[in-house]
Amino acid sequence: MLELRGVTKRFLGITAVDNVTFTARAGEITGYLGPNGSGKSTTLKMITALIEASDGAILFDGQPIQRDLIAYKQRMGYVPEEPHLYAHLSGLEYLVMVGQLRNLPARPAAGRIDGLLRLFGLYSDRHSPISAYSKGMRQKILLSAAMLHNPDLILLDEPFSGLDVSTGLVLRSLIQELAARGKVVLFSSHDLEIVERVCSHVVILHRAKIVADDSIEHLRTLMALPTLEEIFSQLAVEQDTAAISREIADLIQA
Amino acid sequence: MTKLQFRVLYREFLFRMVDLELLSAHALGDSNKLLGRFASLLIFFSLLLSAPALGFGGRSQAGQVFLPFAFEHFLISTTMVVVGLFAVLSWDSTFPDRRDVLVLAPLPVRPCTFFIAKVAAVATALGMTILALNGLPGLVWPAALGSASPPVTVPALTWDKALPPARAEDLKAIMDRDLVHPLTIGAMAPGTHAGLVIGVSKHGARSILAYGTAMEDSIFELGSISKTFTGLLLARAIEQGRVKLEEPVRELLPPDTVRRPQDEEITLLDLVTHHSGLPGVPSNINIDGSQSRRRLPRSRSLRLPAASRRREAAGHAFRL
Repeated sequence: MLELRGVTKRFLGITAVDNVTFTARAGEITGYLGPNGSGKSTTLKMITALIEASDGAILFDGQPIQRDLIAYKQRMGYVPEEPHLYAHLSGLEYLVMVGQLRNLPARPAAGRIDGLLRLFGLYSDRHSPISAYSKGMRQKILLSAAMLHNPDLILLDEPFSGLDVSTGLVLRSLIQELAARGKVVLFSSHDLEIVERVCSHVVILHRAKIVADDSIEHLRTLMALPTLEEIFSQLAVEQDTAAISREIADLIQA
Repeated sequence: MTKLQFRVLYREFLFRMVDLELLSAHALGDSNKLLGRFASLLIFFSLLLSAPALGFGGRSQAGQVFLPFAFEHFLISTTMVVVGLFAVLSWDSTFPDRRDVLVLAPLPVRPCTFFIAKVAAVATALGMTILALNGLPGLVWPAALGSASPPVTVPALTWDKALPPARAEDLKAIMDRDLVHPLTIGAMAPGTHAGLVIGVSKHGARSILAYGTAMEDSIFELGSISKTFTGLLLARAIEQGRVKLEEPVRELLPPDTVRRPQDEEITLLDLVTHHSGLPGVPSNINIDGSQSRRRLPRSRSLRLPAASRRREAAGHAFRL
């Protein structure tokens, strides 16, 4: 179970994340939503220990993550928003490097890497440098690296970015399968349709604060709105989207 | 820190001394090739530095001593340049960049492992660079020195006792004895066109010893030796009350030789302590003595025409 208790992050006096408290349970997929600049990625970076929280505590299975960061990272898999990879390595070399840095035994790791490359359709390109990969292929490498060590906590920041339809479908099923196997899955995305299909529980962030933390079903009933998109629009979208789109169309036509 | 993590990071950082993403995506195996080419370049350069050792045997004794020294100093300075260049080029990769942080921070790697691997990679690359540059000359030159007949050896530096004082009349015998080697196969050997003159003056008795190509009346540029004599002459003049240290030089010269300056005067103290600001050699005097009779202009920048005339009168015919 992943718990955030009053987590706050300030950058030079600007509050990027303000007193965020929620729990992501094992066996369920928690959607973490919010408009651009609401503090989603900052929260995920704090959960991955890339940056430290200014206030509050992050706990995994009841233990503050800072107590034993190395042990925590051994149990965590993270797919970042941007595909940062060592692009001079081949896909195979990169995954072998990640396996070694995670201290995975060589033989089982090799088998697992081989399997992941095959299942993600990268096997024939495994010796090509990552610099020659498409965005979707890089995303598959990131996903493989995050799953390689069978983590208990999976953090996904826009994991569908750049994936083709079939791989997107595979990933959607995979996330559900992993949750069903008792993993804690925290899933951040702008694609509300996917979130609605995949997640059982959502946390919505707006202007650095949580404005909703509930199951999608309960939110629908509570707000008397049929879809997550409408719930999100009501809670986190301040602009009149139709008016803005009309103005843009008028502007380019003028 | 686990050994495996260290090894993996060390290898990664070592092969990434330059940003390999700058290379073409089609340059497969690029890191190995790049490092190989760099090493080949250095080894080729070290071959060039070793080549003169092959023709080493035919040189004179002086050449056998000076040539390796010259190459040694060249190698040292070249190594310093390479190390400096290396430091500049690899400085950026010494510290983790944004990509390193985003790739490695979510992994269970301790920061100390990361840091030690970075430092070890930089140290290895630097060591390999120095080895590639110096390895070959380091082997070839000692071999050439050792195989020369007789082997060229440089005596170890030891602390010699001060020589006992010699009487002026014994100096010739001492010099004749000590200069046998330099005059036959050393620095003043026939063909070197080098020579030496020693003058001794004691209680009015003068003796001049000339060796090599030098003659008793050869004219040498005194250079800084004159400072000792002018300084002593000035001290004597002050002691006799003829001049004062604070006295302006202008007042000691014939009237109207130098105009009165608007700012501070140049004093004898300025001259003797090299604080006058005057040029070492006036700009209108040629070292070969041509046009040496031209009178210097009366200007603030050249305020000692008399002194310059004395220099002109001495002439500048050098013979060594």
